[in-house]
Amino acid sequence: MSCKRVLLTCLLSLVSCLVLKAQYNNDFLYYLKYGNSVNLHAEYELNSTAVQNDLMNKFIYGGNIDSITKTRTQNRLHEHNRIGGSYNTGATVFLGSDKSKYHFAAGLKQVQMANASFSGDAFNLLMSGNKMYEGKTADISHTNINNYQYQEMKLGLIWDNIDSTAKFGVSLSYLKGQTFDQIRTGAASIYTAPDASQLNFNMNGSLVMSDTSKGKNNLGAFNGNGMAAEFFAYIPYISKLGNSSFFASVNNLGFIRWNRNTVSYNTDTSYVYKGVTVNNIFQLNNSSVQNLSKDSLVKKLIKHGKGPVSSNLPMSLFMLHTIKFTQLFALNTGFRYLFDANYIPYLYAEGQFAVHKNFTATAHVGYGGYGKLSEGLNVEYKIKTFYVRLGTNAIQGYIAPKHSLGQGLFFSLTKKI
Amino acid sequence: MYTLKNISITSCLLVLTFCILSLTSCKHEKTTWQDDLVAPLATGNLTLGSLFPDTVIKTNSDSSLVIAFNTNLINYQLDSLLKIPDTSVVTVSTNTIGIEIPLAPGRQLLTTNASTTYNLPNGIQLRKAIVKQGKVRVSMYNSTRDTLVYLFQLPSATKSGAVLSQTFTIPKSVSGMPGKLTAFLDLSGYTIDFTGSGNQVNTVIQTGTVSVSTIAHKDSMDLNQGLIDTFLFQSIVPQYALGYFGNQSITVGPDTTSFNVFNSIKKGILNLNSASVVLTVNNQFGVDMKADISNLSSINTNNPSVVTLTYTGVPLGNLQVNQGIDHNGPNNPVVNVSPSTKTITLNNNNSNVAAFIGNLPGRLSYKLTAQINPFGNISFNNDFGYYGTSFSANLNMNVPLYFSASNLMLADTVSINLSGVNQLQNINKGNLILTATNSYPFSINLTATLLDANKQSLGGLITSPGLIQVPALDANGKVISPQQSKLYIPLTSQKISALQRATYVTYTATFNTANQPNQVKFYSNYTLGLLLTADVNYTVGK
Repeated sequence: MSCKRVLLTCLLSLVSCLVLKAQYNNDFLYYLKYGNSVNLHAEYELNSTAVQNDLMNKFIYGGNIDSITKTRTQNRLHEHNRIGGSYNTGATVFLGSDKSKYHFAAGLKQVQMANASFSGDAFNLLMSGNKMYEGKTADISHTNINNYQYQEMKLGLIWDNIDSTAKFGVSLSYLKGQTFDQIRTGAASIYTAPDASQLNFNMNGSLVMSDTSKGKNNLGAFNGNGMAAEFFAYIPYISKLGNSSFFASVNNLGFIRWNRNTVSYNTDTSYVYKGVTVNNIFQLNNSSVQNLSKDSLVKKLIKHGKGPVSSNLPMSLFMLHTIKFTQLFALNTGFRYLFDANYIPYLYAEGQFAVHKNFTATAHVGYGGYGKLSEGLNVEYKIKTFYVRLGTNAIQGYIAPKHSLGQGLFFSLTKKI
Repeated sequence: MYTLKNISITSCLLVLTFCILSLTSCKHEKTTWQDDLVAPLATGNLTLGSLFPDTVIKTNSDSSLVIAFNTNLINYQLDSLLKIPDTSVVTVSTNTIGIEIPLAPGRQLLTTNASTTYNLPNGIQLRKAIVKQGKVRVSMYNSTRDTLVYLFQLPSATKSGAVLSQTFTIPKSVSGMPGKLTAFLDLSGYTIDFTGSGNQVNTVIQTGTVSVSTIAHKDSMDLNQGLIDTFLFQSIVPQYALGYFGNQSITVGPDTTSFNVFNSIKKGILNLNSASVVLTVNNQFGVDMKADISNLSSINTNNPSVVTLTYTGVPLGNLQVNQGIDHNGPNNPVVNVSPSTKTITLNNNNSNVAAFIGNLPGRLSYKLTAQINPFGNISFNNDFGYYGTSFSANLNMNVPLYFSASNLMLADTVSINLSGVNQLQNINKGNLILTATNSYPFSINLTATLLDANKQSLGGLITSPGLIQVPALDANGKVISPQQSKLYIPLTSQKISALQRATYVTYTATFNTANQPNQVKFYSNYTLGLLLTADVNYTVGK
């Protein structure tokens, strides 16, 4: 598979699988909010510092990306850019006696996370080709693309009322690896001669791909095994401003060992490609034409092998501070960071309005993560013992997709038991 | 307990959940976009070797170039010179005494010892021959009522010191029908002494012994009963022959031989400044020859025209060629022969050889007549010949690359198969660009046409005019600096479709030298660099 195809596949996976915050892939928040309960939840988030929603939507819904759409994104490109997201669906149940200090958690989850950092030149090469670089060098150094897809089975323990009100929880998960793709480049560039007479490849990088023989999107593909742990601590307190709390969690602390059919490609070379050499132009035959294929070029540049590979999951650190000013209004401020995931700290604030005893609305504003400024809105409606929550932390993606970055939705259905 | 309303709400929420879960399944079509790509596809050089295949290009001291090439005109082999016809000998071993001869098992009946002299054509008188291939066919007829045993021997034929010898068992006659046996003896590698019992020529000795089989019954042999055998030398090809090869005349041709140097040039005029041809005649046979080489013409087979070689003061009609020298001799007849050689030089001063070559021949015609041993048997039966040696004539040509060429056309049809190159379908528009950097003093007009399997045109490939321009020359006719030209092969959807349907490409390359009708010299620093690049708009993700 050529580099370009791998890049394309990763980016397609990245974009089509979506990402981000929502509930921040943090199951314990359901326990804190609803106690013993059964939760069905789904969330996706996708954001970037440069790639606009209209272009992302083409990868999600399909269709041709025209030059105007590309140009809008190209106008936002910087030397270094980010894109990333996640798509999670699952079910979690929390059980335990109300009289007990201990409660138990169990859950099943489908997780996909993808992220990338890339130069403006890398985007231009991929999306517009190399003609614009005639006589120039396209710098594709420090490109990093990661794509994970796995299934998670979780068991956890929650210790309530530590020091009378605090809570602490821990869970361990078994992970079934489905898909893993990773591209990393060091110093890398492609020079295109002014008359296209040669391409100078300066390549230092690696590509790892889990077994694709059963298909990348095949839920049954069993390509690795892993473990992950999750911790949280919840400390309520009373301040002058009102009842307050502090929540901190670490999740995705773990790894997946991908099996021996995982393919690794490595290159660390400089190569000047001038096309195939034809000794007699009057004897151009089929074999000469076959040599023109791009695969033959890739073979010259890249060494590959098969074997097991371990990858750390992008660990998440999440902190949330809540002040309940009145019965009608609370303010959440939060921080989130994903390690080794091309992420920058995401800071946000939310105003939570209890509009009705059964209806809550929350307004959200945040900055960072894979994107820049995001605004959101979510609502929660209570029907007897059911809670339905629907919202977005990047509403701009649905209002002005041609002029905005980021999109995401989250939804949960909870039955309190 | 759930009410119906609860269930309905729950159902709606579950549907909504699945809608979100299936969000990423909402992709109705592939994601595609267009890239503008440029890349080199192929590089190469047009060498003069492409124009003149099967030649050696040499450089003179002034860096001007000469093409040299050899071609064999005549090659007259030993098996043509020395033809040994199939010849048979009949031996009769019968009861001629008029009384019954008792036939007892194992009894020896008759012996024969005969020499046979063959009458070879053209006065050939062989003393010795080594057989490369050939056989003896022995046919035997037994008219007695008992099985006979026949020991056949050919003392004149030996191999590693052993005489050719074979015993045959011939079945008895039944109801008056003689018993028959036919056998073949391989003569390959046998040395045959044709001197008979002494100083004879063309003579061999054979012997035979007839006996009654040891398992036969007692009987008798009536008058005229016995054994008749016939042996036949069949398809003899000599490895070596010694003797007198006769005062024979040989004629080869008129005939033509192929000449490949200008095969790729289909038409046009090549006006050479000069040429030199050395005709080398080699005689590897041990006979003197007097030869006459005539009817030398160059035949342009593409555009029929004939130029007959004319010359003055050149002895092509009376070539006296002495015999070759055998360094080993008849006692060690392994090929170690120095040929006798005659060379004749044809050039602008004594012939029209420049026009002869400039006619761009595809074939050369010739006729050879030769007298063998024109002075008789002066070798005293010591003429020799080896298989693989010959009387030959070769043309060694040197042609300075100093010429004018007018509409000199190379053309060919080559097969292509791009039907499996799927990437072509993703090209929306663009060009293949052939960039030529030419320092040869000629222009080249290129055309190419795509053909289907039935060789019907699918349209032109190169945008007209497909001209590789000639560079400017200085006052001495030398190229000042290379000239760059770009030729375009547009990749429209129609053209791409035609490319994928095409089975052949037929092309022409028409050369015209600069400053015509003046001739121009070609120097070793001249080159024609070619670069094929792609500049296309390509849809990714299709």
